[in-house]
Amino acid sequence: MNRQSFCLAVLFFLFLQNQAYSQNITLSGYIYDTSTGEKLIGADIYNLKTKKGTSSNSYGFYSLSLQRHDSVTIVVSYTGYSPKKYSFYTISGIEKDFAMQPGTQLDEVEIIGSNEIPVEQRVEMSVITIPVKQIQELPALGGEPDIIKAIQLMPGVQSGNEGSSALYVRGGSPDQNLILLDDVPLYYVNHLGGFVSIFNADAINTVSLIKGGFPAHYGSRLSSVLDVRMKEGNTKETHGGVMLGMIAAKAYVEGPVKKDKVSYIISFRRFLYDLLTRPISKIAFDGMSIGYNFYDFNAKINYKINHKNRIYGSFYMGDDKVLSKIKEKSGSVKNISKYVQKWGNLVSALRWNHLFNQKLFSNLTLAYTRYRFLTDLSNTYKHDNINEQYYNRFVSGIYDLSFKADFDYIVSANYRMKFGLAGIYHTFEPGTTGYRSSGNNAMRVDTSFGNNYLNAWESAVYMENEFEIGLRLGFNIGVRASLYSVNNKNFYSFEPRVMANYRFGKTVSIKASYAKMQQYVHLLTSTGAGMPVDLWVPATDKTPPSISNQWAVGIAKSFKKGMFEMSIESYYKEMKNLIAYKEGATYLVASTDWEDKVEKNGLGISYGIEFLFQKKTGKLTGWIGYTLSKTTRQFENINNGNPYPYRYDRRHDVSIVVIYKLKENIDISATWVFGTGNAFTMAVGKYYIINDNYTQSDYPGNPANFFGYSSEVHIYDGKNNFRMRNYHRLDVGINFHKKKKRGERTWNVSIYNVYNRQNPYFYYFVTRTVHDSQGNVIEGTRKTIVKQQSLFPIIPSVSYSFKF
Amino acid sequence: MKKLRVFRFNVLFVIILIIFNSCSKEIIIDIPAPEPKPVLNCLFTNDSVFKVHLSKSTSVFDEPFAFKDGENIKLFIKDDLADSLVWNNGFYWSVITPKPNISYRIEWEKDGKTITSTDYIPDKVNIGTSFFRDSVSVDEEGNYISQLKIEIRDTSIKKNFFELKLITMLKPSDEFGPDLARAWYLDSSDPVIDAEGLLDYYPRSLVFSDKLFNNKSYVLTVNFQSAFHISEMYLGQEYDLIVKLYFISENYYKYKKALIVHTYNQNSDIWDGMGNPVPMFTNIEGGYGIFAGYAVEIDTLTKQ
Repeated sequence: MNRQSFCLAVLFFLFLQNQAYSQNITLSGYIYDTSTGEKLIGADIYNLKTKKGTSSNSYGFYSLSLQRHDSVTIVVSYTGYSPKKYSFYTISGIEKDFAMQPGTQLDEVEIIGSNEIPVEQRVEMSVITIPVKQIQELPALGGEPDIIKAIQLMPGVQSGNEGSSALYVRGGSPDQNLILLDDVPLYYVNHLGGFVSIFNADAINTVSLIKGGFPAHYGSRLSSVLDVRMKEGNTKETHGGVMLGMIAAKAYVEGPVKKDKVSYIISFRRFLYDLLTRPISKIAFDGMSIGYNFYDFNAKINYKINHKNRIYGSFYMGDDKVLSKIKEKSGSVKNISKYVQKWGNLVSALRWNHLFNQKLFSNLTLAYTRYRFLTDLSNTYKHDNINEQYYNRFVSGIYDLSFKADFDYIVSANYRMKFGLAGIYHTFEPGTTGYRSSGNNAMRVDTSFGNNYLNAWESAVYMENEFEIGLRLGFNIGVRASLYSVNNKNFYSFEPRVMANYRFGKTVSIKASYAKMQQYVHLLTSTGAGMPVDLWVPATDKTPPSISNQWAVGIAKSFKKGMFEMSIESYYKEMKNLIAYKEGATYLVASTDWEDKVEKNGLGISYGIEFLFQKKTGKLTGWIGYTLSKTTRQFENINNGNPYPYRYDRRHDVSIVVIYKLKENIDISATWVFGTGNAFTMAVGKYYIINDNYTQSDYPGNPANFFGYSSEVHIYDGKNNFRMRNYHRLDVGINFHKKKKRGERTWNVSIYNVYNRQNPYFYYFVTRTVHDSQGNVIEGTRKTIVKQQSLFPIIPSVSYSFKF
Repeated sequence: MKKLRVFRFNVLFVIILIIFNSCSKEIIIDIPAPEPKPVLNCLFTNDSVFKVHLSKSTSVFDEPFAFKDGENIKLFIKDDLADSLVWNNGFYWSVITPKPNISYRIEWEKDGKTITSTDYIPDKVNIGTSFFRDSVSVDEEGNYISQLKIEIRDTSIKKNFFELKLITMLKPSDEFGPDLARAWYLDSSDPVIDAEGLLDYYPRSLVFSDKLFNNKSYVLTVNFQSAFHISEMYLGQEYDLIVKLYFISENYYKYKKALIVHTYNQNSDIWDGMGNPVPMFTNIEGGYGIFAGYAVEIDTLTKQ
């Protein structure tokens, strides 16, 4: 660093110090729901006099600096809750918890502007937050509210295939999303082949998605952060609910173990249809029981030790499972065979919140995450004196043991600092197969082979500074440094993050951001709707960590005292060191080392403009989103080294969401989506090739050149050189609520794909021929056509839920 | 051999498949036809004359066009004309029989252009002892796996390429007459086979090079099954193994590897969506197709 830079750095530091200590007292505490005791994340607390405010953090904690010896009026607000106004005179620091009442009555305060910090005031950009209550009001496939499907309705986010719960954010792939459940990364977030996400809305408190402008406390993925927080459990009284839908049934219960001190929440969801298919298949398939199911189990306990210390324990477990089992008994012969394929997550976390003082808040997290895919096959055969057992297992997975320490330091009303460190010990199991057989008449085998375990250590430190200069200019400047060690090789990363917000006029601001991200894990996955075999593999010498640089600029404005918000953002993102399957390579089990199956050092470019207009309050709420974007990929050995459109490159993407409260007990909703068709590769021509049928020339006595020429191979003129037809779909839903003696029941009726649009899922060629009476093909009658396969036609669904 | 009771059920969304199988329809899509190109196909070996098929590429909607009599097609050894091929019954035939290690050039004059290619029949590599065993292991579904071990004595430093085909031949019994069934190849943990990365594509033959054993002797291990392992009707029946080891040119090797992957990925299905298309290899200058040589060694083994 030269002398000039050093002087500038010192001046900047002194400026921040001056900013920090020119204020006098601190107001701090927690903001929570008065009826449940649930902490409110992202609640706003706003000084009407200075027009400055802050938001509660992920644990409901806030801290706001105020001028000493001053009369101040603050407003505390949170979407869906009655705002509250407090006036007082500041003498010394105050610890104050605010209890918020659900509802929208405005009698306690005359709102000066929005009931939350308006969009132009917030430094953050590219952040999407949808209240869980609003998600539950949206139409849902099979009547199952889905957090990820709601997020997909926002600009810059795409779903990929029909009905999928995958997230493609600003041209990134699903593995580039950091999905956090209570601060712990999840590796697999879908059920039912991607049609349902693992998040059970009953157990979720808040959800937000960051598409760009990542604060420094997030890292290790390229494209987005989906931060999902579970409810903590009602600290006042016991409540619960049940729901029966057309996809799953679920139930939850929450309540205090010790009032205002210890609370819990437990929820469970299960797919139901295997309860039908298993007995039916037993009858239909001669004793073979066949079934598929998934389940999610969430549990959380929170213990308030005292005002300064809280402990949270959270747990999630969910699996998809395919099962077939057959039992046969004939005379003295007994045969039992069982086949199980299972995949899913297990997450457990223990967190400790500690308040050092009014300005310094800390959170310590210890967590364990497991994603595992396994196939088990076993067979037992008994006959007279013969007793044979055979067992086979394939396992692939990733196992993380992690810790994290995060600190929030509120230096002043204008300056907030976050810093912390994190470490993850990864254990990768790319795929091992084990065989075991035994018995008195069978060959004894006990062996395993496949890719070996691989361990890696990932650690990071970060610091971010959110501060304001004057009344108009706000910054969040941070840096994240990480180290990744695998196979005695170290990778380093230094990731600067910058966000700036300049307000002009009363309700307009211009925002800009830059973020560098680095990712140390890669995902090899199947791309269709079939068995979702996800193999997580580490960055290695051969496949170095992926890196992204994203720049974004935008303008934000609120109207009508925050009733409406509008934002326009444009972004440019480059992604380096991407991997992709080699042309034609398949995903499945490691017959070759995975590093040899992938193309490396790929480049991805994505850029676009996103427009979002929201109506946030009133009987009618919703939004209109539009994205104009372009995304390409480039690999040395794919498409002759030329850039090609990413499969989910979508030039135009529109979503319109409307929720209307028809009556106090009836709300209706509708969503309409439109997207440019997916890019795909299609043959443009064909020619004859030597018939590869393994018959004629292999018969003894036939000459070696006894082969024909009826096989055809295709000619392609580029990867993803065609577009499917445009995608569009309308869903509607209606909720009927009714207060009952012991609670509230809700009937939900949803219709997916109202006008039965046959959207393309994939295209394929079909060759038709006409045969004569002898079954021979009539010459000249062969005709090749293109067919489109769709997935979901119009699907009505009904669900019933009861909450007490 | 006693066979374990077997079942396989590897289905995720049977219900969805049944319900939505009808959600397909014919669509009109504008696919510009590429310029038609001549196609020449010929795999030649030293125990047969050259047999060449000539055709023309077409748009994906049309039928490829096969040329009949009247084409001008010649074989050269170096620059000397060796033969002019004659059409008969769908193919052009030579009089001469190719010999190993001689480079043959084929030329086809078509519409004022010359379509040409060059290749040769490689030398055979010495084969040592080979044997196969029945039931060395069981697969994930409980079926027995057989294993072939074949010793390849590579004594030259030049690159060699191979194709291996296994055919199981049922021995006649009271119940069955002689019958053939091709083998399919399973993960053998043999690095030479694994290194080719083709087992996931269900190849009809194994294609490999001597990259990992050049100028050395190597015992190749191949795990395989055939219908005689799987079908319950053949329980307890004996069979022999026909081993066909092809010594192939590099062009043949590249062609076959591409063909295996290309063919596998031509198909789309509800499980995997669109295939992942792979361009096809060709060594025909000015057109498509293949002109490549090979030699072959055939042996029939009885199980040990």
